[in-house]
Amino acid sequence: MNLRILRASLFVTVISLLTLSFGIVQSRPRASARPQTDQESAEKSLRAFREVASVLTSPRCLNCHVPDDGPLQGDDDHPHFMNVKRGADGKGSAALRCFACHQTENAAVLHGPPGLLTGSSPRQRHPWSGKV
Amino acid sequence: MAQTSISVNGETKSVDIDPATPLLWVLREQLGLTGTKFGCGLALCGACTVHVDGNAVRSCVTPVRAVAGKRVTTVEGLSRDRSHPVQRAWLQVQVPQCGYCQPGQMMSAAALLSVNSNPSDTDIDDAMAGNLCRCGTYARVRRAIHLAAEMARGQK
Repeated sequence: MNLRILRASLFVTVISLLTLSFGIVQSRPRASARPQTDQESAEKSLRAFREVASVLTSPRCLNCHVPDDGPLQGDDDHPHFMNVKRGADGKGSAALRCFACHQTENAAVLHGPPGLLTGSSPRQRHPWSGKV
Repeated sequence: MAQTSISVNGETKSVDIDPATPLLWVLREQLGLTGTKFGCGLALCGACTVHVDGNAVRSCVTPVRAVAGKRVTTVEGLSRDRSHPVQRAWLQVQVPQCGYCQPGQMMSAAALLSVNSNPSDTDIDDAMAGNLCRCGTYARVRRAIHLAAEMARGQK
């Protein structure tokens, strides 16, 4: 039984080392690499942008990056509960500041307020709102 | 468990408790300050509102570790002799019906008046939108805040 485990472990170790070696060889820049054409570069940029866009258009971001006076809430972007307002300084209205309910980390309780990084709504609409 | 030191109503208190414990339960169960109420436990109703460094916060979702070294004020700490304008106005207008949400209402009102000495109806509605009242005392809350603002300005 122990011999079987030993053999299996040895096999996994060898495979891992081979995979690692292959990865290192592959990742080395090749001297004869062909320079990218403009079209290839543009396609690569678009691919990278699409990845970033998936983050930028997440409700987790856009619920606060809104053009209106109040933030949104949830994956369906409904208006924030309690009619929360952005306020003059972007940190909520008097007595109802963002940090009145939100901590810098998610609340420990299920369905509690999510954590906020800054406790401040962005002042301006960001260029990707509604465009991506 | 850990020893946590917090300043409540001007007094420094030391409690031996899990630092993740909501401030509400430290106030009510460790320090006996039961004026602050448990409503929803999710920062949705405002009954547990207290001040931390002068700002209204929901104590039910605020871990006690977050207020270490900060000034916490509960409804008991507004004044010892009911002389705070919000307390006087609340009594004069007879705002409460069942009264359960009123400590939170008063703490939000006091926080509003600390930064706006002459709030409009809109200012009041915006500031108090997070404090729910099942009895529907909103009209009296608004009237009392206007009265408290006048009292604070020395006009009544």
